[in-house]
Amino acid sequence: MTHWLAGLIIFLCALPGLAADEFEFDSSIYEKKPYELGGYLEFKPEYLDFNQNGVFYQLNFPDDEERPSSDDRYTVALELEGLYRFGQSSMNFRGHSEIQNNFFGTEHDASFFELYYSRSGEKLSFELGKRALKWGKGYAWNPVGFVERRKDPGDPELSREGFIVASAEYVRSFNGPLQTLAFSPVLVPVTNDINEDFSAKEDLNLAGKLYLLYHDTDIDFLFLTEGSSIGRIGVDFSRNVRTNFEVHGELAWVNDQSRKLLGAGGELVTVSESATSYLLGLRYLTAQDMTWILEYYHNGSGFSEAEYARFFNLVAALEDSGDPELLNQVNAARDAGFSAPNPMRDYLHLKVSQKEPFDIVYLNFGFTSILNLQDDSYSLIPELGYTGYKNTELRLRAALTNGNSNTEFGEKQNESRLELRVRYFF
Amino acid sequence: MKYSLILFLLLLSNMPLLAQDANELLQEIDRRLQPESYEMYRKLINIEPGGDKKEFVLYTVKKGDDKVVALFLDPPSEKGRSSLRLGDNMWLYIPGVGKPIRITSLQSVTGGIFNNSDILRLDFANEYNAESLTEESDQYLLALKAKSNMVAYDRLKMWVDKTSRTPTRIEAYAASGLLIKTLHYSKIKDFGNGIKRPSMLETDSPLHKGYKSVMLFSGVKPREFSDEVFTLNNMSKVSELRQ
Repeated sequence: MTHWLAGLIIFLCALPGLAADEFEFDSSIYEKKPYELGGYLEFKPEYLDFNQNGVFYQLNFPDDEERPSSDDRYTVALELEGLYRFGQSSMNFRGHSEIQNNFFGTEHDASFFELYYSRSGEKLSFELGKRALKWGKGYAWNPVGFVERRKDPGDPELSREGFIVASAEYVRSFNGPLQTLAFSPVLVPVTNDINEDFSAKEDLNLAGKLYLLYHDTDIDFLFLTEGSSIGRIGVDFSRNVRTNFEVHGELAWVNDQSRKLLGAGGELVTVSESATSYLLGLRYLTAQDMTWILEYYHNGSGFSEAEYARFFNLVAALEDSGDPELLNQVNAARDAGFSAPNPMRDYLHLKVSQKEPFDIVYLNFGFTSILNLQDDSYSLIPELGYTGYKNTELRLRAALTNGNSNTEFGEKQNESRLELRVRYFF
Repeated sequence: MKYSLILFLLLLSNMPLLAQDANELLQEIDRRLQPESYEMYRKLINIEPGGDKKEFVLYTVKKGDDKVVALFLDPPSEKGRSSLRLGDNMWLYIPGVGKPIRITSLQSVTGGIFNNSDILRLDFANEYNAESLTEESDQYLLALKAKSNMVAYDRLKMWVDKTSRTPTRIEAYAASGLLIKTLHYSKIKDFGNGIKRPSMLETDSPLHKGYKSVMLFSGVKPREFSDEVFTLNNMSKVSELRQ
């Protein structure tokens, strides 16, 4: 009885305290500390409905006897990031590991997406190590992204693995029409052990970006000198025409680029030609909090419809004959870019997202479509996102592809895909 | 004659004061709310009709008339996001995306009632002209008009405590005359360095019935920064400015 009474008294004493603390804020716990560690844990179940007549389905499931009509795929991923500060310097990392179970079994992968030393000053800073640099203003594609891995146009905000680089950045601010000037040179070495997937040849590459904020317009001039990779130059811009209306663009010119095409007999042939790629886009916010992102992309080094049709013909010949030599040719063609995302020349990307539809706070509805303007095939990706649960982000997403036979999206492996992504942040 | 004089004086006392006085008062309010260049921490609490809450913690630094940058420190899903404002230009940096994108003042980074303009607010006198100033017992009432259509709210009605010369209530209106939100300032606190200002700001909106947002202020102090802090290149490094 006395314990019960003591408990009640303590509880009653604590009540006013709780009420008083409701709107108290002590910021001292948010001051800078030597260590920081965070990240997220992700669980992603997916249902895949296969396009059983699709070329990529037939290639990915080569055994006629074991061709499923659908698959349940489960992915668990952990992304950890952190840093350790010492003086003006810090060591930073972002590690990503995931385990996936699908029709073929269970596979896992773990790697550092970023691991680098950084020294920051007010005007001058240096970085050394594995770093994911992101250049360009485009949302779905970045023709001026000279030193980065390709983004997934269907999910452009996914984190990506970087390259090992040494970079510096010098920034100056001014009063007048030119408000900011920044220059960022980057060294990208390629050897058998370092950045071996950046280019086939070994050499040291010099890239750079000159950024200007001029008359309220972001402008970048970018370059990658001839090294292990082909030399290229580019420019991009972004500007708010009105407070709710932004336009952006990118232009890249690649000198004497080697392109691998399929010859009449299915063999790979290399042609060299300069290529110009560009992107034009806009971002518009309506009074109802709906954001429209529309982008047109011309990939100057992409395949024409006729060039891509040869790949489909080669796969059809393989299906008919089962000739191992044809299989080698198909695999070589896939490695040469025929199975890369959006390998052709002209695309349109549209993303519409409505924040808090029906006044439901933390809910987000989105709709993405990528249209191949050459063969009129397309993908549709509706999604719902919810961030109302503490430290948790939910995303329900469907992806549908459509197109005639011998078209990019018409020949995809999946006809439709349903995905739930649950991320817990810590 | 005597009655006429009294009537004239009465009329005069109730007439809007000169716009010049009103703009001077607006500048004084700005300086009492925050130094020209400062750093501060803020906690944003979104409260849903059922009582559920979602909290965000921001570190903010500002310099002069047109430069402000805010960094999310909490919750973990938002940590590392930063928003930069240079005059009418605004950008958002998301660590996963890895590069700044342009945003607009009316968007809400956090969800709920606060939008980017509330989070990256410059001095009132920088964005608004005071059109009139009237007295209501122990308060002044300022009528403010946006200097350009780039400002989030076209008109503000600001009630100002005569003693502390800080706002007690602000009503924000769209160009159509629609009331967008009401801000309530309270809990005057001495932050040191001569800064004595409300430490709590509550917001409600007829557009979000039943929802409420609260902003709590902490660690407001004057601090000088170089202009280069307020550049796109620095958005991923704002966290290093903390002491």
